[in-house]
Amino acid sequence: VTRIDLGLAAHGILLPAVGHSLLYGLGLARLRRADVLLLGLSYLLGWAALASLLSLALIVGIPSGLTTVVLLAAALVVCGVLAGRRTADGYAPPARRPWHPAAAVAAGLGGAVLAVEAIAALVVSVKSEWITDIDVLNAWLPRAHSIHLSHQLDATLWGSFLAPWYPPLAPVGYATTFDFVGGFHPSVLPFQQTLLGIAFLLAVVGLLARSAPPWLTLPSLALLTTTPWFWWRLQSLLPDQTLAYLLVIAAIACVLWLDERRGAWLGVALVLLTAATLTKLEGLLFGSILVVVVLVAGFVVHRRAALPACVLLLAPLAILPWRLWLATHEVVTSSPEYNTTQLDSPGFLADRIDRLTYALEYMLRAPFTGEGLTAVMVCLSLAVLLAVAPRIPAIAAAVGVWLGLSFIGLACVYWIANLEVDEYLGQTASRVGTTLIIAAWALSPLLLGLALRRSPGETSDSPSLRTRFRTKP
Amino acid sequence: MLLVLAAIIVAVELAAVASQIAPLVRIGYEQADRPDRLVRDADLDPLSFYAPTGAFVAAQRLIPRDATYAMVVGEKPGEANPKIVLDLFRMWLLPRRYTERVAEAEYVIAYYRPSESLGVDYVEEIGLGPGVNVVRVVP
Repeated sequence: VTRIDLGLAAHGILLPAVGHSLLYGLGLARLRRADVLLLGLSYLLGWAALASLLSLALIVGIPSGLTTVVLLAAALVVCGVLAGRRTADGYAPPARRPWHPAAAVAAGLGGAVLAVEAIAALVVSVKSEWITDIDVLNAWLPRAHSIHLSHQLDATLWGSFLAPWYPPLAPVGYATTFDFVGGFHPSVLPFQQTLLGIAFLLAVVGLLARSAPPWLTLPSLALLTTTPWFWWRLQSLLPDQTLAYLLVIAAIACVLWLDERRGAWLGVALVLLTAATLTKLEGLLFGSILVVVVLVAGFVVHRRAALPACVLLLAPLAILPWRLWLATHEVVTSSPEYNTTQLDSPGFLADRIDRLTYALEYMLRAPFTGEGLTAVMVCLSLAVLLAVAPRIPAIAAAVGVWLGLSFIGLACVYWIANLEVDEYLGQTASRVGTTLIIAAWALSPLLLGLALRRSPGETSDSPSLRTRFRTKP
Repeated sequence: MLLVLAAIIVAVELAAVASQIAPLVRIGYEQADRPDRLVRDADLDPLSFYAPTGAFVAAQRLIPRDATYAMVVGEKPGEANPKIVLDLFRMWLLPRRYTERVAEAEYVIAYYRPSESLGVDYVEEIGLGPGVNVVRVVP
């Protein structure tokens, strides 16, 4: 057993401990056997909370390092435990129901495939060489190494590598791993990334356990994991798939809040959306759209009772300290490749409208050009969205509008950029756009599960609203 | 109706999984048979696609951690973009301070470039690997 093994083990224990404490504080976990279902969510939430806090700490000048990580983790655990003592235990574990044999076979097969794919991915992450994407070498890793060594954000160094305007969370996360293993060892990062990916899959299983039957969820996740681009990117050091994990789980939490109006889901979404904002600019874009859509849907469904959801607005605002840090340290705050100053000029936008139409066409066509699985996922997700709309109209509309606006928002990025559009799309559309495909796919069993729980003809999106209407004279 | 749709979707999913799972499992199985590597080798080996990794290790050993260094990258046919090579050295040699100004550096790495053409007087020239040298500049 080496220092690296011990460091990885300590890191691997610390993250779910922090996440579970937060879930305890939110009243979603109670240290009972059924909490095993929340292990993936605990890991992902712990990682997101610690990395976000460390990023913000570095931005305000607090040095990072093992001591800071442990102190922050301890503070989060204490806060979670103290808050949990005041929170009512309102989250019942999923009810055990007798399964139809076909459903048991489907769930069993799905679960077995997931397990096999996860083990294969872990083996590959340990045994094969880490993937040296150019952005990893020019941007993410040098900054992580710098944070690991200096325990601070070195403005001169930060500005000298690629795309300094990108937020610091991904390098901070890698630097924390280096702190735990005691050195700059990029070869251990694919294992950490794969663990995060498996945590994401388990988080989906745990979150959907009460709303969708396992025979829907497990085969769906098995297909996602078997899709080559998803499986290979489990170990990727580019933060795009990590961003997808954060956004998708946040979106699931938001849908659960729309359905149940349990404030705890807002807490989960807030932590994950804050991490997404601090990971990549796409996190800010997709996350902001999600917040606005959920707020609108929330006020439509829950009226004034949706007011607590305004807390989600804090997540996009997490970018402000970072922009302030960039400005005060005279580091470039935005990409010169984007004409952000000319966005209010109709003439400028009209002149390059062909870029928008080309990007939209490219992005619509892309899922149908590669291997068939992606096309199957897109078509089935669309079919599910349309099929559940009569029973859960507000939730289906919210999911559809979020995905649609995010898609258009991404196309607009290509619209306003100066880079040659075909090359730019070729290099980035796949890894950024797949976030929306993963989201649509992971949300499908949840939507189906929620719709199946409603009896035909019943269209209310909120059980609480439904109860209120029924009890009125 | 929804239940039928859900059942069809699950059937499609399982069929699609069955048709795709074998290659990924095979990759995992084949990788499991590979011998374990030293962490240092595992860290460096993937970078050999861009630059000779022995030079990273030698430069790390020869240039003191508090020193300032510069790097001049020449042309090597068929090699990676010079900017990537430079960024790799910069990443690997942290916390040593990199400067773009050769005249301000205590050490200068000459990457496929004759040391005589660096434009600095040096007291020592040490080979880091084929085509890569480091010179210690006259203080």
